[in-house]
Amino acid sequence: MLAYAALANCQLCARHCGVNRLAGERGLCHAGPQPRVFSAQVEVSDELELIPVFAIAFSGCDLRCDFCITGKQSWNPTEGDVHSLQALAQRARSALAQGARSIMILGGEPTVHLPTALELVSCLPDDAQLIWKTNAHASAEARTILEGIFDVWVADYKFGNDACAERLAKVRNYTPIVQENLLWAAGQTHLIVRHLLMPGHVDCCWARVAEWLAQELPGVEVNLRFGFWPGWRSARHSELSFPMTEDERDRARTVARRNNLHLVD
Amino acid sequence: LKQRQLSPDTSEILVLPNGQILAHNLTPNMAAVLASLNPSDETMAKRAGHDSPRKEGQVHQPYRSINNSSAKLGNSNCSEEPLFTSGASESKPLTIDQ
Repeated sequence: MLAYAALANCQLCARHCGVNRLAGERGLCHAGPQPRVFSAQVEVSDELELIPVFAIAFSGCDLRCDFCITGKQSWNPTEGDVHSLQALAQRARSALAQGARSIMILGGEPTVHLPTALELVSCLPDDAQLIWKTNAHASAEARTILEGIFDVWVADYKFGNDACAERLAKVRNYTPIVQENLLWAAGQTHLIVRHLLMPGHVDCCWARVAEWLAQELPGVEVNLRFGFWPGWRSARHSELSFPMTEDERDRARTVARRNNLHLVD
Repeated sequence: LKQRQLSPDTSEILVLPNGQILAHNLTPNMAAVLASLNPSDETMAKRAGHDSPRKEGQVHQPYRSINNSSAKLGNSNCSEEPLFTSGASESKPLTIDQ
């Protein structure tokens, strides 16, 4: 299949490392040719319009966010277990039959496992609402493969500037890449943009994200996430060693109001 | 290669010193527990009760059907083979500090 062949010169994420994953080479994400699943269950923590969601999480990611809530699995694609597509699809069908509204494919970052994700989609019911939960750091090549597949994109816009992105997630040139992905997704599908508020980053990150969204994607649904959790390697950064303060939350809400954003829960 | 059963459904919660509770991977059962702890939390009540109907007039039309993208997806036979077909089945610690 076309998507699997892409792994011979991997250009799926915007790092464009070009490794031959089929021959055993590995890029920063360390992902091989096939993913593992570290979670597959019904959840209700996503947007209210989407829940209950049957969420299938692949391990491995192309970013290195020190505050990642699933850092252990996201940084290591050998975490999790092996499962057949048929078994996963059957679990998804059961969840739908019991009231789940959507099926979400996420990670880690599912883009680095795009071939298997698409194969899984082909096993799912045609009338299921499918959600692609992504860090919005995909390459143009990946977007071409993804065109027309998912009903909803839930995409992170984590950092308001490249300096914070490089310091906290070890990624360069973050801003233009994520903006390119968001603009593309907004033109393709139902887009929901998420921003996880981080302590000490209301002005440098959230305010800039909010201003860009207001200007370039007016009316887009924005889920401002208040539940920053100082886990994984957050303690490497003094400002990320504590939860958000109520003052910061208030300031973040003010930023959202000032930019007339369409916030969703 | 041995396939494993998925682990039981799990949520993670973090209780802060001020009594605030943060939750991750919230399952319906955990949402019900948290809603009972704080009945005034309307959002948690919605998550616990799933009473968040689709938007008015929202009818799901799958894009992949509309766009006839089966060629892209391939003619999968939904293989019973494991997703991971090479290497060890156990997770391995990696040196992944970058």
